[in-house]
Amino acid sequence: MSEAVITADHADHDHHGPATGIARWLFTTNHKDIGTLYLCFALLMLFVGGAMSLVIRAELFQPGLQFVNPDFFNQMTTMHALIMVFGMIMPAFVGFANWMIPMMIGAPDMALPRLNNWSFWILPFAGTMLLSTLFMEGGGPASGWTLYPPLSLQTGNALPFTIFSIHLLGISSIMGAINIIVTILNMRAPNMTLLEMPLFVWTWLITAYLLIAVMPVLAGGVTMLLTDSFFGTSFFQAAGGGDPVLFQHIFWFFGHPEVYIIILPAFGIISQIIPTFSRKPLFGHDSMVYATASIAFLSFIVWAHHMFTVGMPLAGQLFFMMSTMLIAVPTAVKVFNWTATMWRGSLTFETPMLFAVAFLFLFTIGGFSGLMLAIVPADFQYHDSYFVVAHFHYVLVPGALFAAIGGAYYWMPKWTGNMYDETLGKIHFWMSAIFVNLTFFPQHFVGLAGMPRRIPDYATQFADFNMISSIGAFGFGFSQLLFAYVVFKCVRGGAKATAEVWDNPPGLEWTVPSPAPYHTFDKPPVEIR
Amino acid sequence: MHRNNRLEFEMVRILLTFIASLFAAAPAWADWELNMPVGVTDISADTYDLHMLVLWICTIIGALVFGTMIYAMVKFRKSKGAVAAKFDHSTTAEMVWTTIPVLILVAMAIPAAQVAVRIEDDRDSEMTIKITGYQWKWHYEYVGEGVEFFSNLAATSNAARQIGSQTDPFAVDNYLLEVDRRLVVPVGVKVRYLITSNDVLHAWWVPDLAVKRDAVPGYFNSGWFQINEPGTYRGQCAELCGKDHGFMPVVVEALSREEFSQWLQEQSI
Amino acid sequence: MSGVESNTEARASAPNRARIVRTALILAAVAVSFYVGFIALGVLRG
Repeated sequence: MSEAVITADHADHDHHGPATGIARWLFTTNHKDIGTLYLCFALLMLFVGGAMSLVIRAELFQPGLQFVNPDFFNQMTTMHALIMVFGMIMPAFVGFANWMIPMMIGAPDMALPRLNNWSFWILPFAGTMLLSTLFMEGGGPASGWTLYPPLSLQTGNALPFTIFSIHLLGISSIMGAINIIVTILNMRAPNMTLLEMPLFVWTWLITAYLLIAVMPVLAGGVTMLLTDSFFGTSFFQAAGGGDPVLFQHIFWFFGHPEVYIIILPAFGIISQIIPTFSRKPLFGHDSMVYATASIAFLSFIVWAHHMFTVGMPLAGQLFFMMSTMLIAVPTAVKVFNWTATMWRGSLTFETPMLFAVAFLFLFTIGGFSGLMLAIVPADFQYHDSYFVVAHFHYVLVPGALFAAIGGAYYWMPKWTGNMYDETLGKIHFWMSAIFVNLTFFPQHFVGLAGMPRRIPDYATQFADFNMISSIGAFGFGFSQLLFAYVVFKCVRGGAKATAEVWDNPPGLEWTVPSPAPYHTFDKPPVEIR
Repeated sequence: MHRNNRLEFEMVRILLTFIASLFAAAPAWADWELNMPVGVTDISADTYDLHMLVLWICTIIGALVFGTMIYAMVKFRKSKGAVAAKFDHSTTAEMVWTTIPVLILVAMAIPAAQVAVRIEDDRDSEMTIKITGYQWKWHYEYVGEGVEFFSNLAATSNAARQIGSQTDPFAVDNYLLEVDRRLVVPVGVKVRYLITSNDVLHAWWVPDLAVKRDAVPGYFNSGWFQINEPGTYRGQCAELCGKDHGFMPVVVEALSREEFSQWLQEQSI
Repeated sequence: MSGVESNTEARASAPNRARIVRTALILAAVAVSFYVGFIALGVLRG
């Protein structure tokens, strides 16, 4: 890891460089170091979760059971999702938040730096505990990441560890969210009003509120699973007067805002990248803020669209259908605004912009399938089929993940002081874009044709598209090794990056040197543009 | 410059025509397992129509939006000398592209709500079937007829699906979609079903009937279907229920009224 | 606001620090109340 250059800020005598060795990383309270920790952890989890997805796609390559038994397959689908959601994509965006928010608002660090350190270090502990359940008697959780009872109560010894791990992951997120809100509200450069903040900061501000509201709800739900399992309660068991569907309500009250927690920071990154490579300001900045806030608000009143087949009264079906359809409006507004940013701009297509453009196309496709899923009678055919799997992988992979990767390329020169290898970056992009579509587009078809999800083996009419999807998955997975190499190579060296890196990009982060000094904005900036 | 524009325009036009023709052929695709089946009930046909309506709307909007993006990316490249404009907002634009989507959504919601209302109308059924999900099979009971039985994955499929079985799934008839005892129902009769579970959540799904309903232990859900054509209709469990979730299919056989009466009588013997 | 002190080692000035801690505690209380509230929901529904 190349050391961040100590700024020649002779007026502040308290400065010392970062500590050396392991101690630096264990005890750091520096937002840049903590951001790096989160991002490295996320990159590692990408490969762990990715390996699980390749076990899944290897088994699904052909009909028949070749490699794993059905119970282990279910453990793979469950853990793949838990790792990717809680161990990969969320920490990745927290990593971006840590690195970029203080610099973007002209603050010296996060408001609660030690809390920041704890927020990170919970993650490897919780992640290890979660992964260790695979080796316990009875294996890891195998009831899907949604953990619906009564099935989840059939989990063996792994259940309390899974639940505890989820509690810890939740606590980490909540502490991180508190830190982010407090930082943004209290430590902005004095002449920066809220509406003058860049979109990435806004989307994280809103995301942080969502986290505080809903992570505790998940914690409550899994606590009730725990007490049902060990302490004789029957929240979710009819025999004791409970209701399995209650868990679904609680889970999805968390779960739906959760997907917006995942995507809003991605939206923020896209809103930073597109204006830079269009050489034009973000179109409709204020409108984008309001659209984000609308999405966040609406995200609280759509949860039961995950439950249309559960036996819901007609009034409920219609309400949740309409509220879900409504979310398409502010989301569409954002897509239009990004397009309008490019319109009559002066565009170049370096790797970050390639990922941002792919996001625009492919996230929109995921949005269309989401709109289709909202239509209740049609959802009766789509629900729990591969159509749903296709939808959420489109919004998560060429959606959220591509935004994160684009952001990594975009800001890597600022973090490391070196330009990444543009040729390799472009190769990584094209391989990722092609293989991701090969993996997930055919899943729309098999879902429509009747293939359920979470099955290790399937009827022969689904064979061709499953084979294509599996080939795509392996291609996509191995393409990410190229990304890891690009990152590694960039950290080690490369063409020296200027402070601006790109062509007159907006934002305070581009006013400090590259690599960004260990401490930036010890004094608030005078100019905020 | 003029020639470049013309070429790009023509390419986009060809692309859009191709996409449109793909969707026009959609019902034919049902054979190629690309699309939702039209099915054999009025509700399944309504559902299919709704699905195609929304799919068409999304395709058209997608063509417009993606077309605009592609045009922008081609036309406003710095390498072709584009100079960036300075505008960064337009309240009119925001209002237009907020209002139009709302109107489109309303246009979609109305037929959707109408179909949802029709699905809810379970009055005037002629018979009732009780469906119970088990780990990992279905149980069917013809309420009031004294006929009930379990329905398991057919032995041929069950043998073939074992890991390391060496049996080619393609050599098994209706691999993973055949059972030992089918649910037999009459054509042209409104059949009401009650569904529950004996253990964990399951879901009963037959795409050709457009029926999917969760089986919740301790609770009853209900719905109905009325099949228009005799035939065999296959589906699967659609809620993760443990290790053999993928191995508890649903097979519904629709017979004429007379044949059904005869079948029912034979079950009581 | 002119006259903002220079912040070394991210240590906020005293009045700012109180506000930071207060905001953090309020948000933590919100989180806890959602946790308790949803469990209460489960208890009441059962």
